[in-house]
Amino acid sequence: MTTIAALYVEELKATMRGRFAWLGAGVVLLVLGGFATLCTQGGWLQPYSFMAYGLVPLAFIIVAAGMMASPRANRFVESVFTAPVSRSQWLIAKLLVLFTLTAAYYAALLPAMLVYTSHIGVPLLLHKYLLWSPGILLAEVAIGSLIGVLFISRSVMAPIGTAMGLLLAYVIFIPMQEIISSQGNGATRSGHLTLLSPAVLIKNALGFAFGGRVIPSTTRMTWISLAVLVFGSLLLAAWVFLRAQGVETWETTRLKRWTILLAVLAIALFPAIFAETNYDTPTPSANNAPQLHLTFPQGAWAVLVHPGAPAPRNCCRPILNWDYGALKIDQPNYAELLVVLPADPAKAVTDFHATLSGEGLDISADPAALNQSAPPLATFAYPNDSGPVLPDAHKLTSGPVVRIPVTLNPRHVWDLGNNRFPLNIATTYKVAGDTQPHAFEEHAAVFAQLEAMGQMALASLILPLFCFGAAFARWRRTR
Amino acid sequence: MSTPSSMNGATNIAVNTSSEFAVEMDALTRRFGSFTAVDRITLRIPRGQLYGFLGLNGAGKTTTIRMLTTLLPPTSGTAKLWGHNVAEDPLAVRRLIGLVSDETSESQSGWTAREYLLYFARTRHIASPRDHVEKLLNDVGLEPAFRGKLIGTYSTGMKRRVEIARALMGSPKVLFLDEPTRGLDLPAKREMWNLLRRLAIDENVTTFLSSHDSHEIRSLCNEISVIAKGRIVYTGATRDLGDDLDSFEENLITLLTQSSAAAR
Repeated sequence: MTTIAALYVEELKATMRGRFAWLGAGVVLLVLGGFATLCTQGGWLQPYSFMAYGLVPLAFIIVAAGMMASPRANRFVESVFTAPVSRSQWLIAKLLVLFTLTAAYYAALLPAMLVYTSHIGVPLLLHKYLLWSPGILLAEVAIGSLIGVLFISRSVMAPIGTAMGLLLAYVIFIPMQEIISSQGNGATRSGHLTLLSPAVLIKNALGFAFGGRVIPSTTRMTWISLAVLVFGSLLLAAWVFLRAQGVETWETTRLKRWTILLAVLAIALFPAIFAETNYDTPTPSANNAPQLHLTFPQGAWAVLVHPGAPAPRNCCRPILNWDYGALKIDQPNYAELLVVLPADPAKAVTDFHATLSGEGLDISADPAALNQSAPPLATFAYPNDSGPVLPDAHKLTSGPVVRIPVTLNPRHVWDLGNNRFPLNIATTYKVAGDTQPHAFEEHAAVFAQLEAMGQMALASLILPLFCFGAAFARWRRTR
Repeated sequence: MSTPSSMNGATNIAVNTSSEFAVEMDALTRRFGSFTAVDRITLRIPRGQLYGFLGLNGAGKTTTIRMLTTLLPPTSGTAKLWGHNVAEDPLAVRRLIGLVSDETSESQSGWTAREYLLYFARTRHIASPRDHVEKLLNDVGLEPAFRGKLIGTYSTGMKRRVEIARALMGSPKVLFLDEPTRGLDLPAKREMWNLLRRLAIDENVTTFLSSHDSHEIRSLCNEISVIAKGRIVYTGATRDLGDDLDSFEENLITLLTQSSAAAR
């Protein structure tokens, strides 16, 4: 075994010997797992993945800075470098340990991700996240290592504080860049400033956005900027450590000091100056979720109810099954669609025809219910004086309701938890006394719940329990 | 502390036999900005000697040791250990030395003594590292019951023993000891002295001992150097500074006071 390999193995073991290392790892994974589990009730991919694949990897800048700085702060280097170990060997081993920790973190996200992909597959956004995350981890280890090397003191507070400051800036720049670029101001000074964040750079390079509407049309200089940031930081850290410092001292000339200062500035500012800001390309769809355009003509409302049930008191919302409850995935859901017609209930309604369509879900209804020459009508009282005004200036306080039994089967889900499907209702009908038939279209939605909370909780518990077990075993062994 | 185990399990050390001295310093100098911590020290220490290095706080003792142990590059001058230049061939020097400084094991208070020593045994590629570590811990007298407990829970003396065990790892040819018995109780201190004597006699280990303890220096070292304000102000036989401890200390104080006055 070479010295580097031996150092790597020993340093890796040493990393988890910290009194609270296993416990800390377990707590981080437990919090993430809890968040993953909670997110199965709403929408999983955006909030969880942003946290797990974006924010936590950014925090590795603190881990890297601390791990690089602490052996000098606590004088462990005195023991290491009076053994036959060269500083270059130790630096390589230390970097390898950091990269191993990042790989371990990435692997620790696997169980939750497998639960998701087993139900959904790999949509574009997850695919991008899976690339974004290792990019961030690589960049954060490089920058964090440089910070850790630049500070020689008996305390790790200075490098950790610096890393924490950068972390905050990097996080803030992500939404800032999305807002600025969506407003068409991506090429302004503020837009360039946001490119200081490696998370933004990698996002632009991969060509995706979370909420922003546009991405850069070209990415060549963004990739080059990334390379400058990552490899520049690593090379500068190595050069400073091996050529400008002793074991615990700065050994610089005036020329070296200026070289370091200029190199740090060049590495930091290169992306902000040279990375692309031509935000001209629309952001690709994050997944196969259909677009929702919710519109209700005035007074023409609709709601899904259980068979035979009356319209709910707080009717009606653009999400038709708000009171009915979530539809079940890949199985028929029987309901009745109540369509409120903006007409005087005192007048007869005839020749009612309705067409139902949706995206991602199957809708079926008895043709007899969709085409009724004289539909049996109930009356719906508009709440809170919200009835429509007819052309004759008569304000309706109630309207006739047509009841249509429907079967809904949501088939193509794109996220765990809440999936919202468009459901369009087009109707024509005649009202006694009116010469022209009436027509309206509603663009509403229904939601369906893909239930995976139990699976996610189970998957998210495996590694935290392992970490707590390891912490307990070490405590017992060494107490 | 028992007689040290023979240096079995240790890696081979490339020894430069062209030099008869264990330690050679020629005009060795270290500056920190405009402050000269060590000023043109020239000194030669034969192999197998227990050599004392005395001085007041801030005199330059630790800086000298740090240069000799490759932890600090000299500003000018040269230092060689067994003929290997510390600045040009630090790895060769590190294969030859062991260092006990101010409680560096404290830095790894979350490790056990075994883990701490195994780290160094494995990075030195010592065969049967576990056996070697147990043997070293036996040599320095650390109770087996404590070897698997965290160093942070040890007494000062126990931590010192762990440090000494680390310094002895790999059969060093030159031991640098900075206050090695600080924190040790009297029996442990005397065991430590016996250990150092045996290392010098049986293994021809050179010991460079920096200490404030005049009694310790007189007990162990036949030759000493005294450093003040970064300069060597005395090199010679220990007994030449006094036949008993009182006269030794009085002469030493006089020497240091005069040197400080001269430096002003």
